[in-house]
Formats: sequence, C-alpha cells, structure tokens
Amino acid sequence: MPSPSRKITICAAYTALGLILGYIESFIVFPIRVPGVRIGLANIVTVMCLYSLGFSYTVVVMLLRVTLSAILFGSPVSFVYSLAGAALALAGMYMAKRLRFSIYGVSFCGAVLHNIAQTAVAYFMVSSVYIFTYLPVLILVGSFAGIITGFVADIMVRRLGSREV
Amino acid sequence: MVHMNKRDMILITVIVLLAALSYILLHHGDGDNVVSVYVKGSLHGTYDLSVPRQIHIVGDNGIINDIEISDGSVFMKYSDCPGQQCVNTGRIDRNNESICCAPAGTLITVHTAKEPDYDAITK
Ligand SMILES: [Zn+2]
Repeated sequence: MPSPSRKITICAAYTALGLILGYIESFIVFPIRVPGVRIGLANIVTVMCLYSLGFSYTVVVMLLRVTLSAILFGSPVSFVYSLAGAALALAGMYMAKRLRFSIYGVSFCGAVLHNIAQTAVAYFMVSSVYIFTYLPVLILVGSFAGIITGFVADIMVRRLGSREV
Repeated sequence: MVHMNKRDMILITVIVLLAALSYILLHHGDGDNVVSVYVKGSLHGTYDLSVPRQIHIVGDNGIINDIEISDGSVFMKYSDCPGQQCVNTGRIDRNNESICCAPAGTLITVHTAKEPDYDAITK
C-alpha cells in the first residue's frame, strides 16, 4: 500500500484534474434543455480515484472538487446540482463495484445516476413534473458518456498502475 | 484491456432499452398539436388545439366541466367542483402540460411540439 502522504498527494492531483474537467464542462452546452444539468465529465476522476485509492479517499476528493468548483467558477445553485450528481454517482459506483461489475459497469452506473440526480434537482428548482419527460434522453446520453468514461478510466488506471499508486 | 463482463452487458442493455422504450412512449405524439381529454380514466376525445371549441362534460358526482379551446391553448372555463383547482390552472399550451379536475375525474393533456420554457422559469 502507498504511504499516507503519497495518497494525499494523489488526492490533490485528482482534485485538480476534477476541477479542470468541471471547468471545461461548463463550456459544453447540453443539447437538451433541462436547466442546470451537466454531462458529468469529472466522473472520470471519481472512477479513477475509486479504483486506485478506494471509497473513503474518493468521498474526500469528490467533496473537495464540488466545493472548490462552486467557489471558483460556480454558484450556490450549481453547487447543489453538482453535489447531488456527484454524490449519487459515487454511491452507485461504490455499490456497482462491490457487486462485481467491471470498470465499464461502474462508470455506466455513475453517469446514469449523475443525470438522474441532476434531473431530480431540476425538478425541485422548477417544480414541474414535465422535467422528468427528459429523463429517458438524459439516461441515454449518460449511458453513452458512462461507457466512454469507463474506457478512458480503464486506460488511465492501467497506465498509472493502480497497485503502485 | 478489460472487457465488459456479462453483468455489465446485461445492466447496460436493460437500462438502455428501458430508456429508449420510455422515450418512445413519452414522445411518440410529438409534432401533433392536439389536446386529449380523459374522463374517469377513458379517452373522451382528442381535439385539434388550433380549432376553437367548447367541450361540455358531466363527470364523477355529476360535476360539470366546461372546457374551452381557443387561441391555440386550452383551459377550464367553468367547473362546479369544490376547490376550483382546475379553473385556477389557467391556460395550457405546452407539451405534456395538463389540467386535472380530480373531483370530476377529468384530465386534459396537451400534445404539441411546443416544449415547456424552463429557461424562463430558472432565470
Ligand atoms: Zn375541478
């Protein structure tokens, strides 16, 4: 196992990477008009972190990323959206990993749950049930994003060598 | 390279199929410009939103609903239900919006290409 100080350094690197991805994401306009819903690029970092450092460190990295991202380039509203998305995604990924899904299934669960959580937040913001009519499209987009994310995370975890980190 | 295992494939296939199916169910009427009126769970009629008309319904408990279609939208003009929630809903003209008169068991739903304008609400 890597030393605690090494783990903390890696956490910092993941947080920074997550912040950059979150920033890039703010320029990507979702083709579907559901307010506040984002594609969840930073989930790549969550998957990588979950596989290399385990659940507890991933929770810390996720909370740091979401909080810093809201302070640096977000708003209280975007904080609620990203926290809901990231937290439900992480919970689902943790479950999927324990249920022995591969990194693809894990990242798929994360992406789909991320979109479900953000749609739920949009529902509370707008208080209109019609928001949920967009959910199927968001789940399809999330499925696609999740498989791509799984592919990228798989390569990254391999390159970085999950055992030696 | 790790390949997807069987569990992944089953999960992904099931979720994608469910999402695709519900998408089709939710959006198959898009592009129409109609309003459907249901009374006590069954379809009373489907009417063109662009053709003005009055619809008179006697629903559950003998409650009278007078629905009016005009100016490309629909609203509950008169109802003798307690609460008057249906009348207070006002005019609707966006896709999947609906007016419900629970005491009479009436449901009015719009099917049109005009999507709800959430941007205006969040801004
Ligand atoms: Zn009523």
